[in-house]
Amino acid sequence: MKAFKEFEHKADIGLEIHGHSLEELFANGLKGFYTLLFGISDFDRFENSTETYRISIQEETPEDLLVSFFSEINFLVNVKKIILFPVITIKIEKIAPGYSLFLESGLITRIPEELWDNFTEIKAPTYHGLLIKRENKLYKARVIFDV
Amino acid sequence: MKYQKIPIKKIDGNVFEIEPFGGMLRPGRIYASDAMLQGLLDDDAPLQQVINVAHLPGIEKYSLAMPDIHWGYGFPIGGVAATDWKEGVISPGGVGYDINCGMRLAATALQYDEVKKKLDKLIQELFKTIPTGVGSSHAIRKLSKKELQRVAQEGVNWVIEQGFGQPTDLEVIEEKGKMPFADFSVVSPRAVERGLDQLGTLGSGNHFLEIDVVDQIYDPVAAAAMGLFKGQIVILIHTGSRGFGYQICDDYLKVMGKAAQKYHLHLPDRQLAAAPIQSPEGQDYFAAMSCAANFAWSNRQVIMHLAYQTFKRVFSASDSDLQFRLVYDISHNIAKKETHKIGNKEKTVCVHRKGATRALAPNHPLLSERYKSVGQPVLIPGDMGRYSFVCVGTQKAMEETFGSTCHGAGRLMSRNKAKKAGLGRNLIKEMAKRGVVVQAKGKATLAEEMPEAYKNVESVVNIMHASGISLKVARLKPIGVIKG
Repeated sequence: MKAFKEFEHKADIGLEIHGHSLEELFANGLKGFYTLLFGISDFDRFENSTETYRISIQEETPEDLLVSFFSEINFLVNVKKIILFPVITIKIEKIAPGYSLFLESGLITRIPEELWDNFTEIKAPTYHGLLIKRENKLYKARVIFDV
Repeated sequence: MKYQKIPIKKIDGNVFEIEPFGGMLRPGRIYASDAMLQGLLDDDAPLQQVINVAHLPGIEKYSLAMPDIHWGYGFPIGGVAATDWKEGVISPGGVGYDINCGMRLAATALQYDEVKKKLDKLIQELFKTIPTGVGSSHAIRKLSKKELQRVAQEGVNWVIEQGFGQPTDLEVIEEKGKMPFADFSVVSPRAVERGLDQLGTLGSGNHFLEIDVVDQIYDPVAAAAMGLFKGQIVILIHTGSRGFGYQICDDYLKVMGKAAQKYHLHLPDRQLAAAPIQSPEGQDYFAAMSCAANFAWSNRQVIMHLAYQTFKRVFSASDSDLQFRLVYDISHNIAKKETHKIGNKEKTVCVHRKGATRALAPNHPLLSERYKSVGQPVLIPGDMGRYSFVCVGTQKAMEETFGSTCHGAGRLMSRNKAKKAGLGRNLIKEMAKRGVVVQAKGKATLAEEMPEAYKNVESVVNIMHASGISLKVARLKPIGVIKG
């Protein structure tokens, strides 16, 4: 199973993500999204803050949850200038009505210059062609990002 | 000509019409050459979007597409639709994420021979002075929330009061740089945070600041009205409302998705989410979008002023030597309240222009005195290796396209394909050989934006010229480009 891969889109960028569970799907989605933004998803060599960061999101469908999740990560990079790394916990639960996501993570608060040099600015994740489906015990998601 | 899948027929030299079928409320109309249309039929996703737009409640006359039509979110890029102001809907998909992405042209008295020796220095200095976006150091300080509110509600007038430009600039900016319905109270805290440090930043992707030479004059009278002459150095700026606008679009797509359900709107695409203009959701979106539009005009105003200061510094020129002045500023992603003749009546409509440019005819009441006799300047950028065009709007545009025309070239290659095509090549050197000095923040951007990744804009402009919708005035040849 490939955790994520870019797929061809004429004007923008598409991301296909896989995972054995919704939690793994979102964790792999996070890695894929950072790869689109910075070209890497492993930030081990960069200095971490001692703080942790928590995200809590609720939406009606898993697809909406995924779009809101990427919107949140994009906001944190663009405005707060932080990268969530390493991820400690992701929990996704079915609630009435909809789904909730809770994420707890380590934190890189000073994004180094070398990462900004290769930064791809993404306007937003979109709803076009958005899907999450489960096939043969594997979750697959597709999202297109407006660049 | 009649095609199998989509009921489309040629009705004029460069105009095709899709007859209404299914849930279409109006016909679709596409401005294109036969060859362009064939391309659209081979990959009919953009035409399907023209059809989708024709489903919008309250749509008037046609769902229109300009010859630079290509696939977009909700509306196609190059799409125009007007909806009844009282009974119709407004859709963020008809504006796009980059609200009031647009073009600005400034002129100087300099000629190519005076600039060529210092061109490298000029581009370096512009690149240093004008931040490209996230991660850049800021040319102007971060705004406070109150200052951002003033930008969002008062538009360019406020940034001129802060010293960025001249009051006379307002006359040659669409809407005088201020949408009157802007209301900051309907902008989310998240959009506010995203906007605070982005005024005066160019952004990445296809945004740019370009130094051009006026290479050809087609209409000497209109060119003279704009102060353009052959061999002249001009500055072309392409950018929009940055993160502030992206966030407003993102926020309201969610609101509109729910509103579409609430008002029982049956729309064929989620990205076409809409609400009645007169509903609270529709009014809030229009007010928030207007804030982003005002931010974008202000952003281009600040960037132009930074370019003006850079020119003065590099050429050690006085104001009278430089004669730096704004020619025009125009949006190509916006929804506007406008009055148009529909049938025999004047009607108030909401004109969505998504990758389309307003093109008002001569003597239109919204035009400044400078352009009353020639029509509104239309700025159509090409890729960084070929040309951009200055055109003017016509009466035919008022009659056929709600005073709208094309906005650019459109991509030929996907970003990935362009990046692969650029592997192992020194694109900076290649551009230098073509006489264009380029400075870009990222190598990937340069590959994505190389000339061969785009269609030739001239073919697009020529369709609109031949159709009489917008007429060519001048051609601009790039000699220097900065990109994010």
